[in-house]
Amino acid sequence: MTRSNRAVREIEERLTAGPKPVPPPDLLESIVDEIPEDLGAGAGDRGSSTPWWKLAAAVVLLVGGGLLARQMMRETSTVTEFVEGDSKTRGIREDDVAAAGLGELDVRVTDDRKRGTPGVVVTVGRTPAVGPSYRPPCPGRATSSSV
Amino acid sequence: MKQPSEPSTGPLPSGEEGLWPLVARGDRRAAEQLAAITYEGVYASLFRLCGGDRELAADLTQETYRKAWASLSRFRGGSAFSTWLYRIAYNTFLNHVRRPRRVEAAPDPVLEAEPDPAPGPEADAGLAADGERLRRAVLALPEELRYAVTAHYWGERPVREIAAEQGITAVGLRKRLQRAMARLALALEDPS
Repeated sequence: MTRSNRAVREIEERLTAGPKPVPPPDLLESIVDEIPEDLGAGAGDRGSSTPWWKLAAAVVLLVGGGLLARQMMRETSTVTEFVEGDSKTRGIREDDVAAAGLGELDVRVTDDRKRGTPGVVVTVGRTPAVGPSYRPPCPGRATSSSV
Repeated sequence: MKQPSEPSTGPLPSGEEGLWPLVARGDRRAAEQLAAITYEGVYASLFRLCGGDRELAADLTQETYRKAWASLSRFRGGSAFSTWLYRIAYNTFLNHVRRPRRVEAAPDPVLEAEPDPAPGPEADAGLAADGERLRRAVLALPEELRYAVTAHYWGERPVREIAAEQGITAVGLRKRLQRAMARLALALEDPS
């Protein structure tokens, strides 16, 4: 037997050494006294299916989520984005929009500086092809154009 | 809520395998019998975990059964009932030692004066010191090794049972025990 094996054997013997402890005489009585009246309640439900309310909640969430997603898909035909700019450059020029070939799109560029936010809001939306129209910009305020 | 079944009147099964299904159906007499055949083992393992504190071991044994009755529905039967019970006892012990103590109980003069009929760890000062050192080394092991050692040697649970409860193979559990023994040997060699 190697030295390490002997050491292990000694530890095992020490772990199990001594007589088995004897419990106090009234311990069993105390344990039995505390057995609840509704013992086993719920134990027979092991393996039962998920509660009905959980399933109902899952269905409601699923349907609600689907409807919401569908509604959002419809509403995203208009895209609004914020383009950062400073007081001298507007960040995006109407020429750029025209050059991009967005003939069928309605592009509205709004200078938002008056509202205290340095920047330009560009609104892009699909409109029916009704021909070019032009509304002169209000000086110093918002600029709007259809391309 | 499920109503407890009528108490059985016939002879009860002798083993825990036969008693457990009756207890799960709410048979109080079967529960009493199940407690009677398992409580000595639970007490003995807690006594060793507690370093020979009889009072504490008895209190924790009671707490263990209280928890076991309350969570009977969670016992899946993957291992023996007593192995499941040992796990509850072990967790109860760990919760106790980790619990912050605000009030220290005053020593009971009656208990102090009463002679202890069982030979306690104080019987031999040298042996007691050795035993305490070993207990501390066991409790300082990493969790999975500590559980394996205490369940097997102090809880007297068979390797296969502990392995089933832990969800590993018996070989895997034996390896854990070997690793634990190697660590204990090192810890006990070191005089510090």
